[in-house]
Amino acid sequence: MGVEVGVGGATDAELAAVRACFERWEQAFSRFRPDSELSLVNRSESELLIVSQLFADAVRTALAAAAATGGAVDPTLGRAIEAAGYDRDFSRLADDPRPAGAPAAGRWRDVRIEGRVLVRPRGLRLDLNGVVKGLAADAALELVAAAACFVDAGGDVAARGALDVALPGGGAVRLQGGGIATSGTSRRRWLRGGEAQHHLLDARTGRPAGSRWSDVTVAAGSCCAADVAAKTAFLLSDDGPDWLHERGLAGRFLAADGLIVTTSGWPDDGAATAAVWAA
Amino acid sequence: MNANDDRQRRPSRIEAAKERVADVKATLAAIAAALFVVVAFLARGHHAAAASAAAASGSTGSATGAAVDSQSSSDDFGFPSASLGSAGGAPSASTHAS
Repeated sequence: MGVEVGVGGATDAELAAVRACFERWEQAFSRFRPDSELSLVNRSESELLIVSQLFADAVRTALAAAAATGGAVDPTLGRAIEAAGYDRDFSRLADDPRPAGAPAAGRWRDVRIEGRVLVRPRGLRLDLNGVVKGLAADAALELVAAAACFVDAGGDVAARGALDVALPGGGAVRLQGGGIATSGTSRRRWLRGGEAQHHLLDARTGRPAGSRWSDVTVAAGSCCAADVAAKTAFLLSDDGPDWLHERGLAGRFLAADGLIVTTSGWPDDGAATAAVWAA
Repeated sequence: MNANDDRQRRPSRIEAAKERVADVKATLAAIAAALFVVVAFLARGHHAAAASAAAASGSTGSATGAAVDSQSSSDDFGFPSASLGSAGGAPSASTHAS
């Protein structure tokens, strides 16, 4: 996943279990480990594969998330993200004078998972990062017994009990359990052929999506749900606030010019909120 | 005498052949049942495999329920909401794009 993990409220033994949990998920879903299960699946020429239960569950969740977001969060953009130049760990990613490769649109409807049997078109490459980080944080939180605890996976947070969470651009909010996640392009950006690239792709084109927001933060009942909703709201751009509102989710949209828009349910977080969305 | 012997042996040969055919049929049925269970295990997971085994053995019992349980685990993606409040005094973390 290439992120720092923070844990609060865990014993030493629980901390070790959380560490092992993330290592297990990394080994299954890393795009950058040649021996990860994801890499093996993506290299396979076979259209039908038997995968591990963990992998199958993640694919099932990713397909369900794709259906729930109208295909905005698509798990079949592995080839497209590589074409954009994101083909190694972000810490090793440098600007590249070569132009971006040919994009490939998402094809999540062509993927099937039945039990542990994965069926997908030959050549299609999965990228499950749309759900994996949130799922891993939620799974890790289950390993901690305390009534008040949290797991922070690179800014995507799963929490039990009250937790004050600092927000992009300033301000903080109290999460009363569940998850909170931010999606945006303020951190992971690079140049390919002189053109700005980022990791949030428009599944319809396979190219980095345009959005009026730089960061979208969403709170939900789980970290995975918050992360998927934040990505979707970012990708939907102007329609993002309405999409969250329709689902009763509290969200906060930060634009590049500093404008902050919040949906109903988002409390005063101390930042200078310029607009409140209550459609 | 030889012709008489042949007439006596013929029915036993026929019976032996019938037994061999029956053995082959039973073996094929067992293989088919085993394959069915394996495919069901791969396709639907452990619970459905048990259900298929029950179905293959003629028992219906809880077969349908087990299959439904294994299918309905996470096919629907939900967006449960969370409760937010004003920050202050609780343990802290930060959220950011990564």
